[in-house]
Amino acid sequence: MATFATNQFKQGLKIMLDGDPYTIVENEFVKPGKGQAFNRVKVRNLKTGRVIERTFKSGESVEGADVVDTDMQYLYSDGDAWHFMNPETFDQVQASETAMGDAAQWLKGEETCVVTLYNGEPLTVTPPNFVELKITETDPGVRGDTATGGSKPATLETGAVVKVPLFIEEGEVLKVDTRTGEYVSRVKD
Amino acid sequence: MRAFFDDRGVLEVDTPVLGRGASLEPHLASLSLADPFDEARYLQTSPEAHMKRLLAVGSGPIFQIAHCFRAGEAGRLHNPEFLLLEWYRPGMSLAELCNEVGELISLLHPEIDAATETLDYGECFAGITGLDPHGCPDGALRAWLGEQDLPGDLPMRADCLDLAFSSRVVPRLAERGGLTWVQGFPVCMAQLARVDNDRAVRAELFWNGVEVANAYDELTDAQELARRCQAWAEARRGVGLPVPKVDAALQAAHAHGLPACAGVAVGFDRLLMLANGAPSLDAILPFTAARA
Repeated sequence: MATFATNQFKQGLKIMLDGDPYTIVENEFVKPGKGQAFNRVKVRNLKTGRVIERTFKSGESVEGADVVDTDMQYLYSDGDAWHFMNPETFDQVQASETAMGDAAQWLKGEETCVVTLYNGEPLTVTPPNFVELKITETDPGVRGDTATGGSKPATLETGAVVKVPLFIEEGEVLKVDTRTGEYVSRVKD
Repeated sequence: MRAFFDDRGVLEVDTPVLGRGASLEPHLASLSLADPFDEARYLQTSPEAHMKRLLAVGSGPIFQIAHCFRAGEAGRLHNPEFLLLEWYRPGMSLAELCNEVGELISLLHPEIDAATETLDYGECFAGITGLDPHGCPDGALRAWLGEQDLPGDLPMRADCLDLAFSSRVVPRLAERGGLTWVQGFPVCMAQLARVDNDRAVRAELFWNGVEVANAYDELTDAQELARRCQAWAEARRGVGLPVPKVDAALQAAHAHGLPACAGVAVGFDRLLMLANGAPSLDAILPFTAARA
């Protein structure tokens, strides 16, 4: 894996620190007028999500991390692993429950997700920003009750539960923002 | 601004950016130019050398807005090419010159709170680290840096002090905001300032935590200059940095006789950046090095 010197540091660069892959969130060049230069960086641990600060002497080198974000198609899940395929190379990978995180609840099949591969293995999976899913179960709304602004839970075909306005009925297809888990709108055919 | 200096009898000068001399200070990286018809020359890291040569032959007070070049310095507050407003006042004390700097800033940015704080380097440093920067052993500094999860394996004491100061003291200055002079620097950070009473007669001005000026009661002793240059050459050799030849003309100027004077270098781009409330040099420079 390549090494990077401090003058190559920039946001998004993937590096190894203390044996874990990190991404640079912020990079600041610090140099008193007549003094030694430093790079003060904020880095996020790609395994734990924790952000820490580190100071490097100018000119120091760090090892790059083999972390690649790849668009992959979700195929299916066999309960233990979630299977993805690279539509260009037809390579397949299996993501663990840890790597899936919250993503699993939004996927029914064939969605293109961003799979972050670390040394070739899925580290995290990011679903598309929006998905369209059918409601399989929800209490009936009170007819005409469009003005109250209340909400009720609705279970989607993947098992995810979202809050929806009272006028939404079972069987309707919803657009959901996977980043917030919130109902966005109805999808009309 | 020119009227400011004119009123005070300070002459504007314009000296070459290219010269045979280069600074030996360990953390200044000079850009050099190959000349197909002559010996290689350096781009100045500051106009100091030429201006001191003028002072030595009786120029009297002089100022310059100089294009300066420092390799490897790029960031929110740095650009490899930048402007220094530098001036020298024979016969003035450092304190008097610092006042003059304050007057200039008030002129350029009338809204600034003219009440400037003056802090002592040793007190600030000890207050944050619990260590005396003038007297504590190098090992104690490195150990403290290690505890703070900062790199401690730095070659020089001044490097350790700089790291501690910029990481822990400067953010406090930024929080307080406004103008703050820090004076009473440790001897190892004297650069080209006189040393008196075990302190470098040097002061730095911070505006909202950003270093905007560096002022000295200038070193005038030729032998001391030679001694410092030698020490810097060895330090550079020690870490594998290129070692430029000593600037013979600057040495000669000191030997000839530099008048007692206070001098200051103001980061002109930074001054304009802060006066305009801009977040970075990039916001006020028409072209940073990345786009030049």
